[in-house]
Formats: sequence, structure tokens, C-alpha cells
Amino acid sequence: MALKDKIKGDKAKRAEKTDAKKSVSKKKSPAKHSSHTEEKAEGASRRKLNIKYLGGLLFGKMARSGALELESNADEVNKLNVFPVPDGDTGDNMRMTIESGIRAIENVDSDNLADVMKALSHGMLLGARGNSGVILSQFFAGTAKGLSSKRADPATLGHALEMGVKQAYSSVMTPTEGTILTVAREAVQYAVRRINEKSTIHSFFADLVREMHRSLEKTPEALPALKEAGVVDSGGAGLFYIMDGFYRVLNGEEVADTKDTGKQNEEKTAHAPTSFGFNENSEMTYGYCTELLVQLQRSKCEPEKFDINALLDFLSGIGDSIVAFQNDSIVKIHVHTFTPELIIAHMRKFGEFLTVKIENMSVQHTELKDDKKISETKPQSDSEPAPVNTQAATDNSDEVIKAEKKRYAAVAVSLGDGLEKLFTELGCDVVIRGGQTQNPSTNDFIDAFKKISAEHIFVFPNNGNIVMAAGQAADMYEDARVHVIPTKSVGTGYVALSCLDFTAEDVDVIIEGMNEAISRATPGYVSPSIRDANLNGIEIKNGDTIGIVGKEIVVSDANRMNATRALASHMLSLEGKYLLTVFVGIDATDEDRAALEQFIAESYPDVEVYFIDGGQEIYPFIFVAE
Amino acid sequence: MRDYIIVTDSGSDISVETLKEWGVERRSLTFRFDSDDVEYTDESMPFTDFYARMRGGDVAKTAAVNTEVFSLLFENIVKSGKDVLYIGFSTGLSTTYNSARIAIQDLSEKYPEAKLVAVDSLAASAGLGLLVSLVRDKKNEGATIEEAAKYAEELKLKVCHWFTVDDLVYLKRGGRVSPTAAFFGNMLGIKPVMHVDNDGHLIPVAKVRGRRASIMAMADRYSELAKNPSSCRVFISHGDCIADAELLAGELKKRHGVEVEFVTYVGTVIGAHSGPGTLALFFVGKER
Repeated sequence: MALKDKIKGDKAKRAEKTDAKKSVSKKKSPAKHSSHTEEKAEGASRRKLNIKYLGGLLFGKMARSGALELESNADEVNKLNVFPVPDGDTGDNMRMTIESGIRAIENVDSDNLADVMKALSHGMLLGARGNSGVILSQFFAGTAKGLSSKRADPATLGHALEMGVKQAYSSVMTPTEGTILTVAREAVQYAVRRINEKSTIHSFFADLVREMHRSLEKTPEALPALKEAGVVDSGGAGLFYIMDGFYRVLNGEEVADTKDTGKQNEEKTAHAPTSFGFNENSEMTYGYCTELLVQLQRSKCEPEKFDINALLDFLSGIGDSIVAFQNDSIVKIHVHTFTPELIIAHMRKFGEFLTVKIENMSVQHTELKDDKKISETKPQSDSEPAPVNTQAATDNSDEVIKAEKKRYAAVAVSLGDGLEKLFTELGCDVVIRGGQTQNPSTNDFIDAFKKISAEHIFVFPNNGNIVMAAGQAADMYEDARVHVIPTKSVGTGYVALSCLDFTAEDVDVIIEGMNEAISRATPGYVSPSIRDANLNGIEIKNGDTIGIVGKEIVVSDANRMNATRALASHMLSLEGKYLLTVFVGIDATDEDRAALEQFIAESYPDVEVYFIDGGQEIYPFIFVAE
Repeated sequence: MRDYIIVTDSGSDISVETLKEWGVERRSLTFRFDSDDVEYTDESMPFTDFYARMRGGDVAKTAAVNTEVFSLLFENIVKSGKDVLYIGFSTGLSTTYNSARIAIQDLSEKYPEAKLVAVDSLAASAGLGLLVSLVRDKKNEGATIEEAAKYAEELKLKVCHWFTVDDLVYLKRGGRVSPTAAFFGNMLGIKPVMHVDNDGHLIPVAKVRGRRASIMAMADRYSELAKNPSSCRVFISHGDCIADAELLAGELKKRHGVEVEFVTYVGTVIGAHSGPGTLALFFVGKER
């Protein structure tokens, strides 16, 4: 069902409700809002509407209402996919983004609009996930810049929103019309134009929301893909619901002022609040930070002849972040390793230990880092992961062996266990779990960066909908130079990461090498279809398996393997493809995999093929052809 | 001026028959497989069998030529009234050259009027073979042993060796190359492009995605570095992957019209460490 119908339905319902309450009839088109002259005739409960100034307390209420309104309609927004694949959950992403902002203002009980807006927008920046979430957060961030006083009148609001629109546009590499950008822009332009001396906060928002709805309905005209899919733009719809929620408060409608906005829906960011965050089911992701002070012993070796280089070689075979040096007959060692017992055993051949410190870096400490940027949003709610700083946690001895900042590190986003393992083997320091149905937030990236001590961090988002959140995190993080390599699929991420030369000197050369490898790689995947559609001239039925190359749907078939084979053929028939890497998901059976292997061996014998156990959900096969 | 015999070792990957034609003597390094206790030379096992055993998981280990073997040969040559010019396998990869040098030292005392010269080629496989063939040409043009040795010394660092392998596990196991895990990362689909450097060591230079890309990368190096791309003397050796050798040869012909003069098996000396699927390209270039 098209959103616009539902919106009209909603409006009609609301109109009925208010009809019942008041004697004002709203016989006009339900999408239009009543003029404020009629509302002036309302009773005491509607007094708020005539206000000329918006303060912090009311604004906070409006924001909460906006989040709730979106929450109620998030599923609807999720379904507004152009591609009939279970991905890019715009509704959830935007909901989680704004909810992050709501949590940030939970204990801000101020009537100072600037304070509330600043906290809200900062929370949203950190919690931004998905491209629409990031754009939403940028929209609010820009608006916040224009709201620097205790309260605002319609003109100030309008001007601030214009700044919001501008910032939203500039946050996108190639701004496209027919998206959330258009909806925001047209609505703000309209509402600002209609400001006059009689305007109130209510009238301003009424205009804003009305035009937002109109603009949303027009998005299929601006973007053919939307028209073809029979939907309006999901980002625009999300924004509409949020603003509508804002407006409802002004309309006197009660907001269920619960403080646990969406907490029960918060998926993976919440850890059970144990003090260690590491329990019987946890995985050792980061190894042990191992610091040893060794007293070389003449009974075991010749301390003068101790070979520090041999020790460094040994250490580089078992871990990284290595520091080792000798002072007289004492050796100081620092290393991050999964096998601290090896270095203990090794050093006991040469002497005995003065101090031994081994810390599990996968344990999350709940100390707050002394970083103003991040701790501005107070307090940390329990569903926001506490900032982890393993380096700070180990800095508690005078004889500190500071882990040298290594030159390069890598962070990647993975879709499954197999992929996570693969990326780690390829040299990733941190792998963030995320992907289609759970896009990591800006803060998730920042947390990952904080676990690393390096001069340069390369980030591989591996999903078109995660690139912006990664970029936002890169902009916000100050302790390293963060370079986002714009990989839009785990396949291209794998290609890029495997070309990353950790031993090279020049960052620009490394980046160029990776970009070059990506440019020669073509990604593709098969996915179940979640609805009927007709795209790119291809008839798709709900439940089919569709094959996608790059951004194009090329095949749809009720039989999964037929679709997979067709996709493989399509990709390998492209010019100059000699290498195919296939990531096998958990929905693909062994027979499926064998059938695919055989098909490629028979039909494309010259192509080098590698199968990797990706363990990803939803997509049985992900390809990358080079 | 006495005549002299050019001597090399099996690290040159040129067959005994061909070397005979060239009038070059050769002594073999030996190898063993983990599964049996037999000492083999390149002659005692067909290469296809050798690589098949490696593919089957059997681990091969090589051993240098020992001093006595060289002493015997050199002494025979000297007794027959000739001098010895030994051009040997890279010291960066084997101690064979050292054995020869010791033999020469001993014999020089015994036969003070004989000329016994050794050149450390810092080369391997058919790269050594290429150097030997060029020196032999010089000899045929009438060079004295001193001139030939000088020529060899001047030329050796211009003999370009470019390698790729199919599976990195052999290199890592053999320890003849020191790739860090950081450089190579995961092995799937990554093929290294390596060369023998001026110290005679096998060094990874780049990594590319896919076998075909690695073959093309070697052709690229040729285009970049060959002294006279259209008329160079080019040798190729392969570890039981003749189709890939032909692909490379075809690519060079396509780009520069050059004919590859020699396609030979990578012998066990290198093959034991680089594994089946090794492909190597040798030519005289501007520099290594």
C-alpha cells in the first residue's frame, strides 16, 4: 500500500478524533491542516498554539513526539524499498538515529532551546546510522547552528531550518532530488515564505508539515526508480513522520511521554550491564595486552649477549603493537597477542619476571574516557555502548610502556561470522557487525576507532548505506587520521582489504592501490524478494530469488539456483573477468554450493574461483568478479 | 692462453643435455622428501612426479652441493690442462657457491699455475641459466677467462628475475623469502609478484588479485625493464604449469614481438621452495 494512502488515512483518523473533541469541523482534504483562525476559537487546552516563541521544554516534548510518531510508522517506512530486497531499513535507521538524540536530552530539563537542540543534535550525530539517518542528523545539526538562543520565533526557526537544509545537502556527495533532501527543502522554503506578522509556532509547523507531505507525494515524479517501484521516498517519509510528530504536540495531542522510547527495540548496541562485558559466550576479539619486565639471569643466559632483534622477530610472529628494549640486564616487553603464554614461556628461558601484566582487551571497561567530544551527551544511557579505551585502561603504572602508535590499522564492517574471521585474518584490527538490517551508527565506528592505536585508520563500510555513517565518524574522530574507503559491498571490501599493504610508506599510494583494485571489481549478490515488482524490465514475484549486479537487478527466478547461475553468467560474461570470489551465506546449502561450483567449472573453465564461507544471513551468495 | 670450462650447478634449471651442447659442466644440488629417506637429484625424478608429490603434501627439502663434489670436478678439469670458471647459484639462496669457493681455495694451493675463478651470480633458476648462456657466447667469441669472468660480474645484476607463485604456503614454509603476514594477508586469490634483488634474495614486490593478473604483471615488468624488449633473450621457467608459461610467452610476443628462447621446468632447487605453479621470467634489463 502506497504511503500516501496511509498518510491520508492517518489524517482522516486524526481529523475524526479531533472532530469528536471539538466542534470544529475539518471537512477540508484531510491532508490539509486547519487554519489557525479556527483554532483560536479553541478552548484553554489549545492555548499553546498561539505561542510566538518556542522554548526548550516544549521543543523537547515535540522531539519526543517526533520519535514516537516515527516509531509507530517505522515498519511502513521500512517497506518503502525501491529494490524488493530486505535491506536498508530506513525506518529503523532513522528511528534509532532520532532516539539516540532523545536519550541525549533525557535529563536535560531546560527551557533553553539552544541547549536542548544542541544536545539533541549531538546525540543524533553519534547515533546516526544508515544514509538517511546520517542526513537526518546533519539536517538537525545544521538547524542547531541557527538556534543559539533560549527561544525562537517562527522567523528564527525558519532561518535555522534553512541552514539545516543546506547542511543536509552538503553532507551528500551527489545530492539527488526526489529524496529526503527535496522534501526538507521544499517544505522549509514553503513554510518560510508564508511567515508573516500573524505567524505562530503552530502555523509555521502546520505549513511545514503540510508541504512536506505534498513534496513527499511528488518524489516519484522526480525519481523514476521510485515511480517504477510504486513508492514514495523512504527517507522523505521518515522525515515527514518525525515532523508530523513535532506538530502533533502543537496541535494539543497528547504524547505518550514514556522515557523508554524504543529501548525495547534497541537491538544490538545494548550489552547486559555486566561489569566486564565478557561472559561464557564471549569471543576473544582483541587479544591480551601483555606487559612484562624481565630480569635476565646469568644462570640461564648471557645478559650482555641477549639478542633483542631475535626477540622482536619472535614477538612479531605472535602479535602486534610491539615494544621491546633492554636496559642493562632488564628487558621490557609490550605486545598485543592472543597467546601470552608463548611469550612467558619464551622469556623464561632467559630469566625471571619482575612484573607481569596481562589484560584481556575484549573486556569492556565502563570508565568514561576523558574526551570532551564524546562525553558531551550526559549521561551515557545503558543502551549506548560505554566508550572503551583499552590504552587508557592499561596506563596505570609509572613504568609505563606506551604502546607505540602503529602506522596503519583497519576497521571493516562484516555481515557474518565467516566474514568477520576473514577480515580479521586480512589484518583488520576491529570488525563491526552490521550490514543490511542492522547498520552500525556513527558512534559504533567511533568506539571501534578508540580500540586502536594507530596513525592512520582505514575504514571499509562494505555497504552503500553505511558509507555516510563511517564518514561522519571519520570527521568526528581526532586521535587518528581516518580514511574511509568507500566500499559498498563485502565483496569489494574484501578486494580492497586484501590489497592493503601494511608495510608501505605512503598513505596516498596505499589508498590509490585500493581504489584501483576496487575499480576493477564488480560486486553482485542474490537475495530473496520481499514483494512483487517490475524493475529494469524484469518481472519479480514475492519469494523469487533476484540477482543484482552493482545496482541493477538482472534476473529473477522462483528457483534460487537458477537465479544464482544466471547471475554468475551475467557477471562472468563481462569483459576481462578472470577471478571470481564467492561468499557463501548460511541460507545456501552444501548442494547449492556444489552446484554453483560445478556450473562455473563447466561453463567458465578459465575463471579462477574461490569460495569463502561468509556466514552471512539473507543473501545465500555474494559475488565479486575481477 | 689455456682453454677453460664453464661450470655451473643445477640451480640453473638448464638440462644436462643442453648444457652439454653448450660445453658447460654441471653439478647437482640434492633434495629429499619427508616421506622417504632417499637423496635425489634433478635427474633422478621427472619434474611432473616431483610437483605431483608436492601437491600431494609431501615436503621437499634441498641440500647444497658439497665441497668434495666440486673438488673432484675442478681437479679433473685442471688435470686435463684447462682452467675453471664457475658461475654459481645465488649465495642469497644457497651455500653451494661457498662449497665451490672452498674447493677452489684448496686446489689453488695444489695447482698454483691453474686459473680457478668463481662468480656468485646472485641469480637463480633459468636466470642463472641465462647468465651462463650469455657468458658462453662471450667465450665463443674468444674471451679469456678473465674477460669472461668480468663480463659475468658486470652482467649479473642486470639479469632480471620475476616470479609469481600459485600458492604461498610453499614459500612461507621454505623460509627462503621473508614475507610478513602483513604483506600477504590472506592467501586466497592473492598472488605475489616477486623478484630476485641485488643481494640475490627472493623479495616480494607487489601483490595482485588473481593468477592472470600476476602473469600480466610480469609481462608489465618486462615491458618496463627489458633492455631491448623486441630482441631480448628471454627464458621462462615454470613449476608444472606449462599453459601459464605459454600464456606469458604469448603475451610478450603480442606486446613486443619477442620470442621466448627457452621454456624450462623450474628445477627442484627452487621448486621445492616455491611449489607447483611457480612461474618465472628472466631477461637482461636495465637493472633488477
